[in-house]
Amino acid sequence: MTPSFDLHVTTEDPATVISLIGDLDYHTARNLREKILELHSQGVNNLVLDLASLEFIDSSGLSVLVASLKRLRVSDGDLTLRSVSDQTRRVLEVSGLSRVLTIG
Amino acid sequence: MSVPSKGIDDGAPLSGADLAATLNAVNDAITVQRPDGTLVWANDAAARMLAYDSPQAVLSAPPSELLSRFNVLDEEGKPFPLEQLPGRLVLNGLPAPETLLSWRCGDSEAIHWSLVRATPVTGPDGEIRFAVNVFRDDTARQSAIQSLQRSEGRLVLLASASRALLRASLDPVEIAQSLTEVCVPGLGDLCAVWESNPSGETRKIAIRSVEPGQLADPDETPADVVAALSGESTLSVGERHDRFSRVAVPIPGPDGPLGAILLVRHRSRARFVHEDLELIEEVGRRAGGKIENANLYAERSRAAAILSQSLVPAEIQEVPGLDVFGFVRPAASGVGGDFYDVVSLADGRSLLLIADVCGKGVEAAALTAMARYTLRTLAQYHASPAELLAAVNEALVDQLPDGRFCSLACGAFGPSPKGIRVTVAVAGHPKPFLIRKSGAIETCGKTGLPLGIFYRLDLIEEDVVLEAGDAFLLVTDGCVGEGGVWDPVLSEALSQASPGSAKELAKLVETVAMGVQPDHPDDIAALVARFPGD
Repeated sequence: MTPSFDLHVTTEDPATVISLIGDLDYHTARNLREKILELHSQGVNNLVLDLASLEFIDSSGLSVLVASLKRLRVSDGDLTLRSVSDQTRRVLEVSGLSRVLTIG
Repeated sequence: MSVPSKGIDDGAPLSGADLAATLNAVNDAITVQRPDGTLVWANDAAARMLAYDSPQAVLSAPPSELLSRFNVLDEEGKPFPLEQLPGRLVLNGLPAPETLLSWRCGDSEAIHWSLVRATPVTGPDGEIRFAVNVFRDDTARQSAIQSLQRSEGRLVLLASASRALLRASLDPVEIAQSLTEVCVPGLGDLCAVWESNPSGETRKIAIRSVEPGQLADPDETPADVVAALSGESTLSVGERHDRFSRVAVPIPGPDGPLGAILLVRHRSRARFVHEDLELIEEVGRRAGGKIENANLYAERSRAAAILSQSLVPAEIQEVPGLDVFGFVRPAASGVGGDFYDVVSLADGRSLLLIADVCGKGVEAAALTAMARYTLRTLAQYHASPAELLAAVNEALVDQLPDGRFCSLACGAFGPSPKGIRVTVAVAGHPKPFLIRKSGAIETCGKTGLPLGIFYRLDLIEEDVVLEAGDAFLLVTDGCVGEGGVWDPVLSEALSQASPGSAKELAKLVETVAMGVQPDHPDDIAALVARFPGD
């Protein structure tokens, strides 16, 4: 299986934006996890995830969002989601996570 | 032929004796043949080549003895047709190109190489009187070329063995078969592979031979294979008339040999040499790595299967007055984190629950088992679903690694004046369905956070009432898609189903779920409770 997933990092002061492209699932979630760990270790505490090109997210993808949110909140930062599609919004609602994630 | 003359008797013609002495000083073997093929002259080098003491001994030997002594082979090591020898061609008036011949003298093992050129000597009328054969030794150069070719051949073989091992499945027998396919006929005429299991039993699992029957299939385990199975490589060659050669090497594993490889070469082929043994040992090492991986994988699959079996209750606890049926169908790719259960709360009510732990494989299965037994243990201390889930949540926050969580939906079943009251709690999970006797489909419950993320959970319970003929259905997202995208499909199918048993409803859910995700990438699980009434 070829993971159809990619991510791009840009800076929109004061936040750092990661644009997610394709499917964030069991096979690709690790890529995002490692990228966020890397940015966090460089002192990035405010992250925006741009989901305009995200096509699918499963529970492994959600668990990366949860882990990142917890990590950033500990260091007084935040994780914000933007350009959330209707389908992704429904996933976040069913999983209850829309209550804790900031959706911009 | 003119020999430059220079020296004391300058100007005098060279005598026959001088000429013979000069030709004897040449390193090339020279013979002179009559048209009938017999030799009339040979120099010292020719005598040495044919393993005679002197040229005279060569000339007095009968032609049959000479022929039997001089085994001429072509470049591939097959017997060379004698009428094609350059001397014969020349005596028959045919052109003879310079020819590369290899030959063995008598019973000697050593192979020599010569570049042979033949020149005719004609009489006054142009008739051919003799053929002069000059054999230039080329053994050193040809040996170097051959050894280079053999090294290249070994590298090529090693590369194709590695490729074949990469492609082979994780079944030891298939691994062994692909090995024998690479080794025959490239490396030997017969290849057989044995495996030994941890209790010390050995068995032959693959064999391949160039021509079945030409080499006996070893039924019993030969002595050199027994040695290889205990870690020792051997190279052995047969006696003079039985020119088989064979190599047996171990297939090494972390705790001693996993098996052994036997290679046999037929008598018509060059015997195995030490470099071949080293090559086959390397092939054995690579096969060992592959089999070791296969065993690890098999062990993990077994562990995952055992764990996943522990995720399904052996027998669903009976719930008085209810018809209950549940199933978990793991994803096509293996074990996932879906499970269901029926447990008793502190107040005696039955709690039906379904849950999904993030992830796949053994790790998900282990986390699932943990969540399941945490729930079972804590249920006896709590009388309400929201309280129980708050307690389970606290335990899981401390135990679930990095971002993992558990989504769960449940209902506690208690009596009600109109039928059965179900107290529903939903933690980040697809909501339960109510299938009314009339065919109407509703969802129920208020979605809260999944378990295992934050210490605060604050779930809100909701009560619904089941009347006679109604059913309560719990599903995981394998049935309704992420975010419940297949909800309408499932609702439509359920509303059109004629009221049936819990098992019939569960089967319908399974059929619908398999229809919307035909390649079955996610777990599918459902738990149905139907209130038949009376």
